Amino acid sequence: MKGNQWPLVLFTVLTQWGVGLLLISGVIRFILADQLNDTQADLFAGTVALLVICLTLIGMMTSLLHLGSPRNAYRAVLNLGSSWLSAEILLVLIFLLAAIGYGVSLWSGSHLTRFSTIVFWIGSGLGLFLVFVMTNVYRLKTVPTWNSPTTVFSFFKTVFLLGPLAAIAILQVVQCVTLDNQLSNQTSSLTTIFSWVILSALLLLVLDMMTTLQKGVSKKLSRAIAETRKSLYLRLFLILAGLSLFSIPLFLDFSASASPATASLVLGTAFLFILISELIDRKLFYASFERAGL
Amino acid sequence: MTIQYGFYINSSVCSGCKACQIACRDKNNLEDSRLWRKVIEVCGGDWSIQGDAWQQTIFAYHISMACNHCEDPICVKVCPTKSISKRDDGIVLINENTCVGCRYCEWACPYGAPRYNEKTGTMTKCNLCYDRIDNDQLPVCVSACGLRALEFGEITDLRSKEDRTAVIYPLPEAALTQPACVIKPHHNASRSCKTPTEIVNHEELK
Repeated sequence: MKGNQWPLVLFTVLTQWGVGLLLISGVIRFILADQLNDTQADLFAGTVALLVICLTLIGMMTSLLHLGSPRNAYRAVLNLGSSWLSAEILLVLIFLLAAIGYGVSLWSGSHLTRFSTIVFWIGSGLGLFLVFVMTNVYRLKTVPTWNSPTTVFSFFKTVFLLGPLAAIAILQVVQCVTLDNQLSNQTSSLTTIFSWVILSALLLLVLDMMTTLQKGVSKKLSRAIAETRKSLYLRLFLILAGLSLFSIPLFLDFSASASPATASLVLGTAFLFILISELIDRKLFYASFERAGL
Repeated sequence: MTIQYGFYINSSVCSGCKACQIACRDKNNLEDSRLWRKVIEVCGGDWSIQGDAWQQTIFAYHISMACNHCEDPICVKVCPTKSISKRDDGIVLINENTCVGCRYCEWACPYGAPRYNEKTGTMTKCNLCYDRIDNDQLPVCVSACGLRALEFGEITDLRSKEDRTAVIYPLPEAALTQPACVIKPHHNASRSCKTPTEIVNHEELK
């Protein structure tokens, strides 16, 4: 495959991370509805909204870097009738607007309102549809290595891996910042959420590795994997290191013992490991490109 | 669409001289990395020992390939800016003024026909010398072929002749895009499915 694919790697991974973060933050808020006070809920939701907006914006900006003629970028939504790429670009724009709307509704009111909740669910639904459209952009009938369910799995795996991990990291830091007397309840709920998210992440990554090995039937991918064996080992190391760091709050009560700075540093590093692993995985996805024919 | 123009490639007489490739390169001022017409060199066969003697089944053939101006062009479907269109005579053209240079058509085309122009940041490809066709002249690759291995015409006429196919190793299934090209296979092409066969000029085709 010709050209520099890093802008597309960043665009797809960051956008999918944003979708997952928005969606899972809502689920966590629902689960912890009785245990988060207004300050905590607002700080958590506000931080999530800001991060989702930044991720989508950075993703969009980097995607422009792979265009030969960015001046014509506005024309990229003209073929909605038959091009999934046009649909993807339009949906990213709408998702960004929904995220901005969600953020503005949060920051303009004192706490979460019915309006912000409605905007949140619309944004989450749009986000999931956007990821579905993204999978179709790559599921070209002339590219057999991409035209498979593993592409769908790979993209949604990024959503449900990075989103929940980022959400629990933010929530933990918010708890450290806004420590109050509901501490014991919050800590036990948060520990449960951490356990579930890390277990789910582990399961997703095991499935991911299995699908990668299964794709070994493709000659081209085998070659790509052989060429990037070091990247695969690095990825495995990053996943293990990242999930180990993420497990620390299960054994050490961060809310009681760690400062916000320490919690941010540990969980931020853990997340960075997993994020780099996902970027490597997406780079391998692009490396597996092989057309039917010439 | 009233008619559909296309190419006829007689692989059985093509010597791989690449006069078609050079003529196209010359007319359209193309760089080596952006050839619209390329000659694919295919080799196959093996050596085996029978008694005291070595026997060989080595064979080779050439296919001259450019954009096939498909009847169901996937590049037109996937282009997000609607910069690729199909004329009434079936010629598929790229409008470089509106192309965004995303290279999605390059990914999708099973013949690898769209080529990226590094200087302009847009996609380019064979335009079937529409300027010459509109003046009742043949495409320059067809004119340049000394062995008359390339022909041009309406695809229904080209398809009506005998021993013609659109599928030959290493080309993709015709059902993917319905290419407007017909090929008379080299007599050795049928052996490509029985013995190890490969494209041997990969570097040149990049």
